[in-house]
Amino acid sequence: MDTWHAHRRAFWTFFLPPTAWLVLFFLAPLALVWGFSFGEKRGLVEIAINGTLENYVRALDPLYLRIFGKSFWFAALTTLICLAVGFPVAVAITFAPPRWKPILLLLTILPFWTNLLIRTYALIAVLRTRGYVNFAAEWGWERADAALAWVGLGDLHLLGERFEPLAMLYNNTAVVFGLVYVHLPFMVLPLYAALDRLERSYLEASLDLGASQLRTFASVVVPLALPGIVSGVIITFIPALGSFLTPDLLGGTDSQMIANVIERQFKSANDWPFGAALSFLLMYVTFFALALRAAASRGRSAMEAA
Amino acid sequence: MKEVRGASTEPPIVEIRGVTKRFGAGRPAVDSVDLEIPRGELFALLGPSGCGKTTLLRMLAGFETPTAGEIRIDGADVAGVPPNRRPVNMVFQSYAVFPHMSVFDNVAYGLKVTGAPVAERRERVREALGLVRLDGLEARKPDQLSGGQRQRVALARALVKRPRVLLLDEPLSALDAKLREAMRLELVNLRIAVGITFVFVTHDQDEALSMADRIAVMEHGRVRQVADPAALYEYPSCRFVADFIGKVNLFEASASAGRDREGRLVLEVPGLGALPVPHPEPVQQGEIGLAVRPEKLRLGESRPDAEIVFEATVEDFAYYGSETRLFLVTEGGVRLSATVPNTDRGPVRIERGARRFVSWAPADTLVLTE
Ligand SMILES: Nc1ncnc2c1ncn2[C@@H]1O[C@H](COP(=O)(O)OP(=O)(O)OP(=O)(O)O)[C@@H](O)[C@H]1O
Ligand SMILES: [Mg+2]
Repeated sequence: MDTWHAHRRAFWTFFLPPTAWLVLFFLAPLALVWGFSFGEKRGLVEIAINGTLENYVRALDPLYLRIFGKSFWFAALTTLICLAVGFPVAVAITFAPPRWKPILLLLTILPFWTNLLIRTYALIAVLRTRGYVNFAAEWGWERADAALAWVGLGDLHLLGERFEPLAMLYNNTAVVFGLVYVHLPFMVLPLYAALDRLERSYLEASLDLGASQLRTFASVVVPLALPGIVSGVIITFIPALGSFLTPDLLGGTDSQMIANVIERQFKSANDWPFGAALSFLLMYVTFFALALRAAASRGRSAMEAA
Repeated sequence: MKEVRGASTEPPIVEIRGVTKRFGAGRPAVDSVDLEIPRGELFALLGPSGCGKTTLLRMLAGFETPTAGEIRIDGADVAGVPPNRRPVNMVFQSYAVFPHMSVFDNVAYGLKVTGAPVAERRERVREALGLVRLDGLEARKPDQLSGGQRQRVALARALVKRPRVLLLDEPLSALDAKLREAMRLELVNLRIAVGITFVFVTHDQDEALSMADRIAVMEHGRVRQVADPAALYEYPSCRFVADFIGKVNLFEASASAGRDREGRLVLEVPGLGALPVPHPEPVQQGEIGLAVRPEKLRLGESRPDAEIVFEATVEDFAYYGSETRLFLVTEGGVRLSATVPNTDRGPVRIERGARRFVSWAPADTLVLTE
């Protein structure tokens, strides 16, 4: 840091442009939207910022609270499933033979190379009534039905008169499935980073002291990978909470998340103040969660220091 | 220390028979090793870097599976027994003290996972911490400990399990020189106090010589010699051991001259001539190693009455406090190094270019046929 003081000009040269960029294109628009949230719609494009809390009051209507609640529930469920699925994946990559590791990591981030919209449509192609899962299921059903007919049970129609395609799209399950699919890499990567840093000798020491594999996992791996778990949870939960494309394309009429409502305010409903209030409510909650985590980790280190 | 029982009737606590470990193609990391370690011994595995010491130790702990051969611990074949079921515990080179647990929890861990009752746990942890003199630090976290204290935690954590064999991988290598010296003695005393067999790995010959009851010297995955420290130093079995343990003047000789009237072997060394050495065993014709330790060389300003004596010039010398090392060249152009103890206080009375008579007793000559 001393050298920064010594080279003041160099410091400002490097520091100023990105700062200006952030202020101009991030903080300023954000402040503007924050201002809108205390405003009132006057006409088609005109907004009067008059300090009203009307928008927030409206946002706390049970109708919207329910959608908030649902969004949290979807995001939490997504995070939980990502953690449950992502942990074994991260463990497998960590302990894979060295020449496999880069390939497995590449496969993990490969979905990012394709546009989210295209991936979501691809998922629709897989899950829809005349999609690949149903084709496979139908094929299986026909074989099973033929087998039953062959053993002479054909007349009983044990598997139904004909194949009923599974309805896997346009419901809440489809939304959570889609969210998990999209967010899994966000969970796997920080978990992998944490596990990869974990020294093998800790695991060996635990085994050596008589602990089972499971016990070693619970008492050594998880606590030592905790920072990675927390990061993974946060960077999965926050974007999942703000998803709008996935519920829009995969969800049914009752699968809307809060971001869908916000989008509608800014677009079709053309009610920017209300959209801004909803956005900021979401942000306050996110900040509150992050602050809670910071306080928790500060509390933990304070406890350790004592 | 322990009750006197016939050493011959008591089976060794560790038996290693024909153990080989290969990692992929090429030279095996451990190559057909046979070792027997008696109960209660402080046994050292010594060798240069990469000779397979750690691999052998890890096979005892169960972290590596031998490619071939058999390992018995306390009479039982341990093939297929996972590390958590073996009656051995390990002190890792990096100590691997769990950073998220207090000293107490670290030491208690091995008891907790096997379901020892809380009261017993507390009592045994207290005892183990007392043994390594860490009382009062129970609540500390590892990052609040010095390297030496962390190492004691690792020791206590292993000892509290009362293993039949304690395995230590370079236990002192992470400590500074002064502490290392102190810990050597402490480890030896600790072993006497607990009566457990210790097997420790080191590449430091001083450490092995000063601590171990017996030492196995390894090279390229093979055990070259197993002996107690003095035997290893004074009677090395081969050139590698002679050269690896301590310092040595090593010459290549030929046994073409046969034996003298007293029946001693006469070895012909280029530049030194014919040297008699007592060596009753028959030797093969051809190249034979002849060695003499630097401290066995006597230096004098006048020609001594000795059988083996050369006139030499001091080329260089190095002062080490307790001793001075001299590098000499004989008339025949052979280089010799000698160490003389600095028994008297005062300035070093030697200079470059000085002439000295170098002599040694035939009995101090080592004959190395391998
Ligand atoms: N997991 C492994 N995979 C491949 N090769 C290995 C593995 N472990 C050890 N080796 C090789 O086996 C040989 C012996 O290694 P080992 O660690 O036992 O040596 P060491 O005697 O303990 O050396 P040091 O004193 O440097 O610790 C080395 O050549 C090493 O490269
Ligand atoms: Mg090693």
